[in-house]
Amino acid sequence: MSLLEIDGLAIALPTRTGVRRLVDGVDLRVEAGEVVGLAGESGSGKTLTALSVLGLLPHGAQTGGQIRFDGRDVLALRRRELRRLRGADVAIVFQDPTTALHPMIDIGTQLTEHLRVHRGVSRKAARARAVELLGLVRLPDSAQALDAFAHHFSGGMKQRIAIAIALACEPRLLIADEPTTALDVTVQAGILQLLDRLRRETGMGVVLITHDLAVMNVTADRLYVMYAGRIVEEGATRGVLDSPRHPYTRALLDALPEGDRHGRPLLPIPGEPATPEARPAGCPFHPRCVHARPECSSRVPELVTLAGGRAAACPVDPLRGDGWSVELARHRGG
Amino acid sequence: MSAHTAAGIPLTRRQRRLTRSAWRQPLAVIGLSIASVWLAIAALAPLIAPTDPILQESGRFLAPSAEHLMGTDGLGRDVLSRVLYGARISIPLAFMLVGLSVTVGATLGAAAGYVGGWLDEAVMRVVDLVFAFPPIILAMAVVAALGPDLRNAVLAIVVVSWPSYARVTRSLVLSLRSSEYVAASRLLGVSSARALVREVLPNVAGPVLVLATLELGNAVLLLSGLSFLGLGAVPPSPEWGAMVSEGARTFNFWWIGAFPGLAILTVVLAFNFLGDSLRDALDPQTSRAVRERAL
Amino acid sequence: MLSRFVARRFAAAVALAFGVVLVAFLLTNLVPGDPAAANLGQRAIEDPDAVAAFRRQYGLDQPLPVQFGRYLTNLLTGDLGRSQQTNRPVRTDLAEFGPASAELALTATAISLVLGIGLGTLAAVRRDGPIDQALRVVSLGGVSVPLFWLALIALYLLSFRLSLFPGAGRLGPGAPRPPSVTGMYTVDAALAGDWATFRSALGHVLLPAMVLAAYTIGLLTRFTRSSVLEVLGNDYVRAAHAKGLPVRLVVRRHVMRAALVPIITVVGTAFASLLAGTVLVEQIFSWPGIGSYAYRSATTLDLPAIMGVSLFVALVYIFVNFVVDVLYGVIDPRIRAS
Repeated sequence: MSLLEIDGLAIALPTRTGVRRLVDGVDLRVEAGEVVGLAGESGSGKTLTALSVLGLLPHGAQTGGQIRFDGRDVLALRRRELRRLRGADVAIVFQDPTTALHPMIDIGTQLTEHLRVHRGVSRKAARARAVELLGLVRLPDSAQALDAFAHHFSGGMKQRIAIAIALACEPRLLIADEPTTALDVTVQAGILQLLDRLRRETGMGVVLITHDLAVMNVTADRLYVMYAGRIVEEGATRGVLDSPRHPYTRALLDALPEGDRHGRPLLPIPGEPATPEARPAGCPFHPRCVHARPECSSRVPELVTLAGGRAAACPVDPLRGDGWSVELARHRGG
Repeated sequence: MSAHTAAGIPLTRRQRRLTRSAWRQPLAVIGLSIASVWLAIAALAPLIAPTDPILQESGRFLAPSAEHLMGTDGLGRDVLSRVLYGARISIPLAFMLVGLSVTVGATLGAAAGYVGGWLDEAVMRVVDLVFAFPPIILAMAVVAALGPDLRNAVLAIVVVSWPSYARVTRSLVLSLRSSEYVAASRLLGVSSARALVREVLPNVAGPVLVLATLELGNAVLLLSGLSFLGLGAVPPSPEWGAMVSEGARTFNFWWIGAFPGLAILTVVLAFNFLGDSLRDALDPQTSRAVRERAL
Repeated sequence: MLSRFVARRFAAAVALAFGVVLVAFLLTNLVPGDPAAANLGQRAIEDPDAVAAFRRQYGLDQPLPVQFGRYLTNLLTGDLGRSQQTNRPVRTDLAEFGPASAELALTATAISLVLGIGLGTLAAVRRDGPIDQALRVVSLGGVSVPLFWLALIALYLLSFRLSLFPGAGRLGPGAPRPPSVTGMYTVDAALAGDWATFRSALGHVLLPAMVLAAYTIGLLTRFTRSSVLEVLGNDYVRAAHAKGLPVRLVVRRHVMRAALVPIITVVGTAFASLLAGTVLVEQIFSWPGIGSYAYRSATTLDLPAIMGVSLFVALVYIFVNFVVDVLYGVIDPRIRAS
């Protein structure tokens, strides 16, 4: 039994134009001790998927499918049980630490208030644990930091604090939603290293959500790629990034400015990400896809299991190596 | 239905959103209706009032009846007529008040924001000073110093009201002065003043309009309050505040004070409904769009 | 760091007080006509020596800055001039009438805080529901109603007609005045253990206090609602829920602490408007406070009294705002740093 099993998850939200499906049949699995990446552009539904594991969906959300943590369906839990799960068994680190930390409560309290609620720890023990946690995330001057407030710290330090908060109750699963997006590139590496070290030391499972494939490359063991609320590709990170089987993944890679490009030209993905209001018929990516065929506009491709634990939701095989960009050049008329 | 105003000017996207959501609120509609009724009354009072407001012909202190729907006051004057005519005092004066305050306030505020330096300091100190007094108190002091009549009351209320607009305009100008739009315009050779005006005017209009609408109600309250204290309209003028004052002195004859006060309440309520709905429509935070964050 | 913050705020308050005094001085000198003529009446025309003597006595022959200096020094010794209607120093009048208004304003403040913040939070938590809509109308009504009219209607309906509340004045016929400690009958009666008088005093203060509070209740309800709503939309509230904290703890520690900050600033303004509102309300309730004193001064154009009251109220306002500013800094550590 996996640590986390998301089974056919669907999430619909009321929007200005009616109820829209923002997540449409997502299957995802996380084992203890592994880092699973969830990649996609904004609007792909990746954050919603993450929030749903904690039951933190916005007002009026409708859900379908199951989210099994340790075998129990999170979506079916009662409020009190859900509350016991949050912060204790499953923890989340949000994208922007500046807004996720309370500006008027001292760091020490923010680090341990849930610890005291969940585990009934005394104030003295909580304080000691807070110092320990700050040490874990390599934050200097722990004792002084406890009485300080969020605005005393830099962005990178705030994110370390947020991670420390998430770790306070020794969760089995950590969800990191774009943990480095709001930070400088120079700080990013430190945070990623920290996450990697922590999961190796504690054996917790990590869901790393980001749109940045370079980050995935470094940190994630396995990778899921989401587009328009569905998983379009999955597999071991190395395999997916070396030889992507879905045109969207391929396109994402080609749009990366850095990395090993083998002389391939930098290609932005034409068009705009599909919004929930304007989802194309058939395969949601087909309007922007260079391999699009007539049937792509009418049939929604299923996620097909391929060899080596991989899966992709595209009947077209983009595995042409360098020939692929030749094909693209021909498409664009030379 | 095309997205154009009656004058054929194409509505900008922001304005269009405003018209749609403002009118969807029942309070805005109610407020507008009541305000329109009062505006009509103010315009048509001589035609619709049963008698002359200062005519002392009937019996004194008559209770409301078919002949005198709101009774008569201590001098035998028809209260209904006086209430209707009172609209001709309070409402135009309120508009004039707000107009003056906006002009003075927005000008000073914009100047302070744009020029900065000593002018900014000076204007802001004066604003702080005015804000240091509760409005009715300062207005009371000013009128007492100048002499109690309607004109001085108006002046006093303008003195008390302009700082609000100054503050709003100034902060808007300040934030826009360093905006990228102005910087880009300057790079393109457009004088910063012109760029500022083009950027400022549409952005300032909204909040100032909201403030002005809400201040209309306050103006009526202040004006009637001053008259209640004997510092505004003088008898036999049918000003609502003065009428309530008379009603307070002749307590048993409740209609003398009740109806004029009710008039004040409905007028101010209408303006506040309107202003509140406008503020809701223009405030990005309360609009539904915020709920749909990028997820 | 906190003490430096307090010192800065205090300096600002003093500067403002100085400015306010200057304004009051200028206003008193704005009076058209010659104060000598106004005071001496007929004699002014006939007797130029008397006019000169008058001017000398009151320093009216000195240049304006000197007059201001004199005004300021007078003020610092507590001399606010002499009331024309009571023929006593304004200071004495204020001291006599002050406690009554304090009692009224403080009761109104308490009512406003409880109802305003409570209803506002309720409206925020039940956003867009029927309760929220109803409260919106109620709060708009509160800020729209002319206080002097509401006082009249309330007294007439609830006291005179329906006898739900006792009549005007501070005490009923049977209740003796309690020994004076604070000048506030409710407090004094409680201190003396005279519960019959306490009940009478309380009953008498409730209706005028509720009327007075109408405006501020409306204000606070709206303001609290938007403040709480804004806080509820913040990421740190979501983060608090994500930690599995019980809802009550989230509201108490995370939401209210952040929401109260802007609310506190409004409370300062609210108190000032309450104090100002006494001018419109006290006379109708025959409440012998500085409000009715100001009313009488206004109707008789007793200029020293008007200026004295205005100055007094403004200074109280500045003081209250100073306290509010300090509280602001205590609650929100970010403010201290700026």
